[in-house]
Amino acid sequence: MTTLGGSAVTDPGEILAQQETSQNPYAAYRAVRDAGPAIWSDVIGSWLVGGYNEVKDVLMRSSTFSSSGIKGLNVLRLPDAVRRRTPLIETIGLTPALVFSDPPIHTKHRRLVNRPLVPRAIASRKDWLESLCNETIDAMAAKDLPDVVNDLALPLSLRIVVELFGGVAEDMPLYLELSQAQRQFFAAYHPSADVADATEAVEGDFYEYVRAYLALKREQPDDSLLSALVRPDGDGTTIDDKEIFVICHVFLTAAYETTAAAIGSMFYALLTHEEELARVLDDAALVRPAFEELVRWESPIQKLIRIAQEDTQIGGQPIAAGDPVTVYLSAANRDPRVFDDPDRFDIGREGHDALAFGRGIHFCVGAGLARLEGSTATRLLLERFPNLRIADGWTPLWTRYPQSRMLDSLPVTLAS
Amino acid sequence: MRALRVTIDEQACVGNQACVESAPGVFRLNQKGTSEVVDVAAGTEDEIVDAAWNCPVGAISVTDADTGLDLVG
Repeated sequence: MTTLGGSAVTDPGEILAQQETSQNPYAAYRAVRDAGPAIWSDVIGSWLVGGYNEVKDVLMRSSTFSSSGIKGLNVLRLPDAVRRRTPLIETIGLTPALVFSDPPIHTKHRRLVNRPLVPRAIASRKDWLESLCNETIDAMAAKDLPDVVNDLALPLSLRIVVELFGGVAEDMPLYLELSQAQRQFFAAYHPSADVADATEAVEGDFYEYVRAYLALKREQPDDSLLSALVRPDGDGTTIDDKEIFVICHVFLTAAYETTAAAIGSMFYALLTHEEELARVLDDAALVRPAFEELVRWESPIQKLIRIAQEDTQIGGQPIAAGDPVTVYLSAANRDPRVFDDPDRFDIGREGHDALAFGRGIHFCVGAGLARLEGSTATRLLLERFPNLRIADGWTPLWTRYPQSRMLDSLPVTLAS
Repeated sequence: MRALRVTIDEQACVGNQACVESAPGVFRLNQKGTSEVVDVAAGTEDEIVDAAWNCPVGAISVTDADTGLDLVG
């Protein structure tokens, strides 16, 4: 029996499933951790795992805990009448790709996607990243009511994804349209025929867009992600356009809002912790550890889902083959058995080993880019506007997507 | 073939195993869930450099054992 906010509940999933919990999920995460190595939730229909060692154990045992098929769950629950209208959405949902796949498909996808993203490749993109940050900061500074989330974090993150793909800034509206269409489609439990048709049409546009670029990159190879995806692997094999299209989808989802969430939360953390902000303003070298602490403290990706492939155990708790397992990265990252005073935002934390970017074979391929992007944006904005403050009267509103931790807005004043 | 010195920053390693896939006989995952060097002679220089290049956290260094030259670039 767990006690939460004074009322006794047996299933922490009941609290986690409530929309208002997204405003402050940490008491519920503590309840998951305290309930044992893994606790079954009838409400969520999954085992819940929140302890650091247990989460790490599940992530490392990637052949026991599969990542394949997770993405298809939101397609499979759609009514048949909708599914018949949306073949492309069906393909995207049901084609295993990248983080939503197991070896050997995962191994192949990761090798290709890795090419422009490994630390040594990212290091050569420093100047490019700085100029995109500066351009976005200029545009933000010209606004009457500048907002770190909506005028810096989101447009910067999207621009970086688009250019990393090999596209140009003019392509951004299509990506935005796609993001919004998907959200509207999957938010509706029974999307109407009109919504289904409109979403499928945007997916069709994006497919044609990706294919056009793939044709171009085959003719004129460069250091972009799309070019890396059409270049044959070491064994001479390639993957077809539709599979690349699905990889692009997964990559966009994994890269765009997550990094933006981290940048928004980074400024929220610094602007609400005066001493930490003063340290960063005093020594720019502390921006990097501050970003590392931020992704521990407000992990942009809160949870991951796996499916047990065989009868197994998590910390002694028996788990049956076929059972879904939800691991809460954000609960693990505040486990007091690993982090002293875990709810405190402390940029001087030593021996940092948070699980924000996952662990094992699915460790985030974009971690190096996210770290450089997050710390560069933070450093450059603070250099330009050291008197940055949160606008009077603002209170945080966290978006209600339970898998991610992202502020809806962060309005600021730039100068004193 | 020149002799290679291969080292892994164990603190940085996240158990991604991209190195094990690039050069299976050279690297393996240990009980702690991090990568270790088993046998440098079990792979070609290309495979080992590829393993270092593909590490998502840049935890692997490969140098010429005699000259100390960085071979990953």
